[in-house]
Amino acid sequence: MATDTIAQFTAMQGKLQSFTDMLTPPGVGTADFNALQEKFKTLNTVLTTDAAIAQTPKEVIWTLNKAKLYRYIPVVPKEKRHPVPLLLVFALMNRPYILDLRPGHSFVEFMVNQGYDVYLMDWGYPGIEDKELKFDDYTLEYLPRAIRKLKEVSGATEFSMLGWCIGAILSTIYSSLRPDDGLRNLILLTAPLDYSQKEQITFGRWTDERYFDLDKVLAVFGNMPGGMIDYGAKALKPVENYVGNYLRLWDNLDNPKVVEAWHAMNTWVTDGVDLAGGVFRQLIDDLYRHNRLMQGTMMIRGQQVDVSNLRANLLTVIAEQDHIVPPCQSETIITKVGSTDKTELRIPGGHIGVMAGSGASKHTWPQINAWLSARSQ
Amino acid sequence: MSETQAEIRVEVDPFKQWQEMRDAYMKSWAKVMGDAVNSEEYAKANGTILETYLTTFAPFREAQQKAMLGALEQLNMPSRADFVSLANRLSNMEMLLDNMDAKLSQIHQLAVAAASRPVTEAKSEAKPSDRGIPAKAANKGTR
Repeated sequence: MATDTIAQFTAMQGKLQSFTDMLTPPGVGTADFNALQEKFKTLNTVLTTDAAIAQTPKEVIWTLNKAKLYRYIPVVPKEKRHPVPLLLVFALMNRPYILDLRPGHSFVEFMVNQGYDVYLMDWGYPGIEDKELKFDDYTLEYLPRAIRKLKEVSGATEFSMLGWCIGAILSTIYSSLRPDDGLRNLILLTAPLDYSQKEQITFGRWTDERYFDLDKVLAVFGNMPGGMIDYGAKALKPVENYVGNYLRLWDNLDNPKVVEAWHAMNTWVTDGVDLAGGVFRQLIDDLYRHNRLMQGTMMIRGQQVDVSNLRANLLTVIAEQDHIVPPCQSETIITKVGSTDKTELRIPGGHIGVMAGSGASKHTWPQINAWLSARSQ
Repeated sequence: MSETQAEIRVEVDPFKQWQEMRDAYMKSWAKVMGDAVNSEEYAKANGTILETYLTTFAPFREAQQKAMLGALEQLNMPSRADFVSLANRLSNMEMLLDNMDAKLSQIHQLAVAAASRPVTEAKSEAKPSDRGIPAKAANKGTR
């Protein structure tokens, strides 16, 4: 609807320019008019097309159902590479290419250049046939199989894992249930693990059983629609997301750097993924409502998830201005795990900005690399 | 026009002033809205809207699904449920294949280890005199 309106508006601009050209004496006001027209052209392109994203060369080495495991083509000779490969696990309801957004602004590209053998788990787009998938399946079927393949391809017996957002939940559950699977280093980014401080968690308030009928939502939709998740994330900061974001673009339409960054981020934000119904049920009922993971009462395929079993070296990265996962949700894990080597890193920034914002390449990525490289020899 | 007049003209930019006013207004508006969405009232209102939508939408959806299922059956066409069951079977097969892949790679590793062992052992351990073979004959064989 909005794109149609913009296209119509651009067409009108063309007609209006011909009309103005007829009436305006040569040289008067044409430059201003052309600049305005150029702005609308850029706006139209940015809002109606997808940016070129995820361009770091990679190959698929494993697939299961909709999931794929990618291996990024190394650029550093094998003898200079870190011997411990790195697996990236992103959330289930967004595309993982936020980690490889665009050349020069890609965490994956940065880590490949630093000499890591990098693997990325892409969960794909679940269909209605996947509505019964649960954390149980993702952590005890998909992840262990993908990790087996990673070990086979890399020839390594140990690996590092970076989990971001829901990916951090999956990584935590997996590493608590499989502590002897060769996980040497675990990095948790903005991990929503502790749901005890309910007054600080807006999503928790919205999905409270008094207001949110979980059974009815899943009975109607099967999976939790990506559009509804996107609405939820944006509604936490409605003015910034629905107005401020577009004003910032309008103000900077003549600045290619800002436009390029905005275009890439908008491509990612609008590429939402439905969340499998079974996972959504566990997320709301087990975590948001009953905080079962931190209380040690969460059950995965009949096994109790005890985070004190987690013994890998742990780095937890907290975004100080995160409004989606407030810092209180990520702070307590460090006191509960069985790891002896554990570090907390607090970085100014939001939930996504901390890894994909303009300052990430100067602040977050080098600190992650410094921590990991010392533990990947 | 003097330099001072030019400087004054540059400083008084109505568009910039308007932009600053707009940004200040946006900031205060964002604060108000941020507090609003974080309230119990908003959560309750959101829940009511969702509940109304689901209650209105669900019966239509159910009726549409039944009608579609009937139509597909009449036309001898597979329904969504058939495709879902097929997809589940394919996923199971994929998992079985993955299990086989894991076992094969384990066997391959064992075979490689076993195959490499006699060669190294032969080099380090097996000397012609140990097996009662004359040194010359043994050398011929290895060449």
